[in-house]
Amino acid sequence: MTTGQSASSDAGVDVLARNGVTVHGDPAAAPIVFAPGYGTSQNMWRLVAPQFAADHRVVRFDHVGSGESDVSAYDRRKYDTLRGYAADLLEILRSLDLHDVVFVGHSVSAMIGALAAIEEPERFAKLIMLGPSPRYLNDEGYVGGFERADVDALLDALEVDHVSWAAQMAPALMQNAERPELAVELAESMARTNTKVAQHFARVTFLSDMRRYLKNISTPTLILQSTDDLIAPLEVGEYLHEHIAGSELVVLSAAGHYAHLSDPAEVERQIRRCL
Amino acid sequence: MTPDDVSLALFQHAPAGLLAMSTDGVIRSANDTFCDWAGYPRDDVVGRYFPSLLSRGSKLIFSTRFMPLLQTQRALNEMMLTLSTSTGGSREVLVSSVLHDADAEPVIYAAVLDAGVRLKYERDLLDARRTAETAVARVRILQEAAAGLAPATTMAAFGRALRVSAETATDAAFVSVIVAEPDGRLELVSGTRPLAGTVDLPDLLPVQQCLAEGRAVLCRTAADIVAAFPSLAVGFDLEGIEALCIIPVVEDGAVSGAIACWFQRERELDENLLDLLAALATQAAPVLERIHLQRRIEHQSLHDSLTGLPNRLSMQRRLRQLLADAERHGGTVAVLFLDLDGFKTINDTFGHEAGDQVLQQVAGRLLHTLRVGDTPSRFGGDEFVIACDGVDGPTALEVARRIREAVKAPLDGLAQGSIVSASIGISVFTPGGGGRLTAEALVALADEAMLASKRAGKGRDTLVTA
Repeated sequence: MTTGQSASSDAGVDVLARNGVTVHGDPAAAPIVFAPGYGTSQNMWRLVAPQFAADHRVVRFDHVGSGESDVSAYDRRKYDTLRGYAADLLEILRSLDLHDVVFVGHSVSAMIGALAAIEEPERFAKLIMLGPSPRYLNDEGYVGGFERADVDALLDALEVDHVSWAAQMAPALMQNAERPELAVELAESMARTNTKVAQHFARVTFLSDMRRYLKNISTPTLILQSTDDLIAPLEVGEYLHEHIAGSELVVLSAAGHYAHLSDPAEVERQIRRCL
Repeated sequence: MTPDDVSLALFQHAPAGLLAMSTDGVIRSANDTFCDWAGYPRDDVVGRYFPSLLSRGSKLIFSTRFMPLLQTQRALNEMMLTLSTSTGGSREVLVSSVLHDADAEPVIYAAVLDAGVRLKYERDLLDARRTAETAVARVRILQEAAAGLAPATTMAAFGRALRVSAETATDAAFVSVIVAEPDGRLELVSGTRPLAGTVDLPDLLPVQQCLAEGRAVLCRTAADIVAAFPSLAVGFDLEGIEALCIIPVVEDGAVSGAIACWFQRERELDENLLDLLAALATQAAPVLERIHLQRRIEHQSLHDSLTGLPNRLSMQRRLRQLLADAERHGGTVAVLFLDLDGFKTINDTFGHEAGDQVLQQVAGRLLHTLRVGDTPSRFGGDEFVIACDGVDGPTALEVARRIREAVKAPLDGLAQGSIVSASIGISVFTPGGGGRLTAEALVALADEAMLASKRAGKGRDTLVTA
């Protein structure tokens, strides 16, 4: 039993289509992979990733269920653990035959990258974690920032959201449809799927505890933590720094949880500094 | 008032909080209504991070939904958030927002509506819908389980149906369906299990405990696993198992199996889920009982109840198979037809019970004497037929000699000290001898050879080749 063995990692799967993988830059240059955080897509890296195209092979992708991924590949058992996402990441690296990867993961993707690097350390040259957290919930002697009820509030919001999402989608779908009532049904069912996937991913992201695996990370790690990240408080960055051997912690001031959008130049500078 | 004054008053006193903020959430401007609701003077509101005025749960929503959606859709409607006020209270609001980036400095405009009553109503609706959905999902899983289990006649089909239902119910990374056979052996009838390479199934402690106590075994966290099963913690850790639940399948008060779910994430395992798994186990129990019964009947139809040896029907099937294989692949098959000498005397002298004991002892001696590829059977009365795969004439004679030696040892039981001997006839099939030989014909040849042994003075062998 290894990572993500439970489901569709069969040979026939088009990994690159499944994860909406995009590749830019110099095909012969060193690879750098950008991974999106919870609830976002590779588009969030639009201000940072292109800056590396001149001297890197730049790879971006979406997690299954988000962005341009193939939502039909969403298997609840596989993605009931971050290991399922880590298995996908390794499959992407294998299909593109990437080695010595500089992996830049935002938010939950930082931990997904860590799991993948623990599994196949030889593929990774560097882990760069932007706004990471190994556990979002507070625990005895640990400040994660959130309580269980806060996660419930998020799950509720996702569900209420779906109603307005469907209402927004339906007219667009109806415009070209021969039978508009089916379009409405389709919008509703898409919204339903999206909600279920978003809720499940939220559970897996915010209720997982990765602390016990940190000691197994052997890849050189750079932690970029903002002073005012609502999702991952500074204590969390310090905890990670303390528990990942040989890691470096850089505190970005006032950049929030989306430093790659709010301060892309600084994020780029920090990545370049350790290449 | 001038039109400008009216506009300003509208902005300040509109029955909605109005905000402008930078793309990272710093408030640039806010109206009086919003400042009132937040409970801070304007100077404290402007320059502050909007999410710092939200409850913790809403901070999570703001960072993981509000901002990403606004970035991709540029507008969002009525997201439900909770304001934390300066006095420690809270106010439920709906926030609609647009990203305005026509100018050099992009701005987020937000309208904040008080929605306490409406949101309570929405929450109630949500709860009702969730309850209904949970119930529907539960019924669907149980129906699918019933549809899969009802036609199952084999352990494999039973296991698959139960495993798939448990997987759907739990999203567990791995599910194992384990059956305790009537003879006490444990079988993994479907799915995979942890520690397969290092720990034997009967020694897998959580399963062992569940089967022994007939109660569910639950570990919701990795720490629970360490506390309950310290010796397995390292192995589970290597396989990423962070939670587990084992549910017993109880049949007539006895534990006949278990559904074991292994999770690669800490899981809450709430009452709903455990009830559903218990319901699956309840559905599974009678099906397992039926399959066990079918197996018992099948075994009975193919075995002799006195000696436990395969019966005549079973031997005929076995021989047909051996002959077909021998013809296809070129091999020999030997049939030994054994009739006891002196059995009738024991029956007449010591009674039928003594005779039965003799047959049982002879059966036991046959089992001890024969090799792995040899199949003994009780053919009827005091007749036994043995099929030997890949055995030629000389080897068959050697087997017969060993059998005769074993049979003629003094008996135990009611006929203690008495002796019976064996007259044996042997027929050996060699392929390519022209024409097909049936199992019945091969046995008939051995039977004739046995009679020849009897005529020649009993306690000896006669060999014929077919």
